[in-house]
Amino acid sequence: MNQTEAELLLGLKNEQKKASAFSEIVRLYQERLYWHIRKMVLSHDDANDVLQNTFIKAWNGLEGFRGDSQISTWFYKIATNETLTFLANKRQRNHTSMDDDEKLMLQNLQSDTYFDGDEVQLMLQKAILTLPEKQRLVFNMKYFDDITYEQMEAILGTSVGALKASYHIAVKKIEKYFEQNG
Amino acid sequence: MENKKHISFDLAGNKLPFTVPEDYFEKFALNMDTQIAVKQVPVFHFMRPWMYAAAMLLGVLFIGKGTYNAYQNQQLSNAENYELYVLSQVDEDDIINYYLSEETN
Repeated sequence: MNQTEAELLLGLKNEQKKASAFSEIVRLYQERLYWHIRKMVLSHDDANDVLQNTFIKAWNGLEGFRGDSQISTWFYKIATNETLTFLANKRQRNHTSMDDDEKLMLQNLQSDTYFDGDEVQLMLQKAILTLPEKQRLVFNMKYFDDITYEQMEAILGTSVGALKASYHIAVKKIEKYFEQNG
Repeated sequence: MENKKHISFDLAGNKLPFTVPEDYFEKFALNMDTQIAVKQVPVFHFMRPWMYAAAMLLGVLFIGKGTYNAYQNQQLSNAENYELYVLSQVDEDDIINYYLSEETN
């Protein structure tokens, strides 16, 4: 744990400093967590909701954080769980299957004000949407954020070997998608 | 005839094709500050354990009283039932003769 994280952790354990320490954490990690969520939910409004839920959940669960992992890892874990829960609840509300949900997300993406990708980037997002959710997570974290497999293991609770295999398969699928649709 | 341009994965790059509203992150952080301020529990935090203990005691007393009342009602019901049972075993004429003998005595 680096010095900043150590200082923040001390702040979180102190009743008088807890709020200001948490406020600093929000400013430190909000962008990283936002983009982590946004890559999965695609819509800005949904990402905003999930990001809020993430921080509120973290705030409410502060007493349970023992400091045995990095603060950033802990926040990433909460953000990942909140994202997957959000997607599952959305499917349930809309009575859709994963396939239908992906089609809907794609339709919304193309008309989204906050999407400014070109033809290639759009095709990549389409290809990523064909991956199973967990594999999509792995691909996004590796391809866009270059998160190490060891960090990913801490966040997702999956072994490094399994993560490497998952990423390798994801890349093959995306290459195939481009060959067939490019 | 124009050939369709082949789109390759190699050309995709790793730049995200998403944007956010202007000043989104500044506003988000301020919004979270407000939400946390609302959620913060002030001075009475140290009293929580005592409040939990008091609530538990009240709960035990309430359940205890309810159980005792139910037991008393059951006892009463048993006594009434027993009395009715005993009376049902005695002939009505015998009861009348008993009371008449009491009167004459």
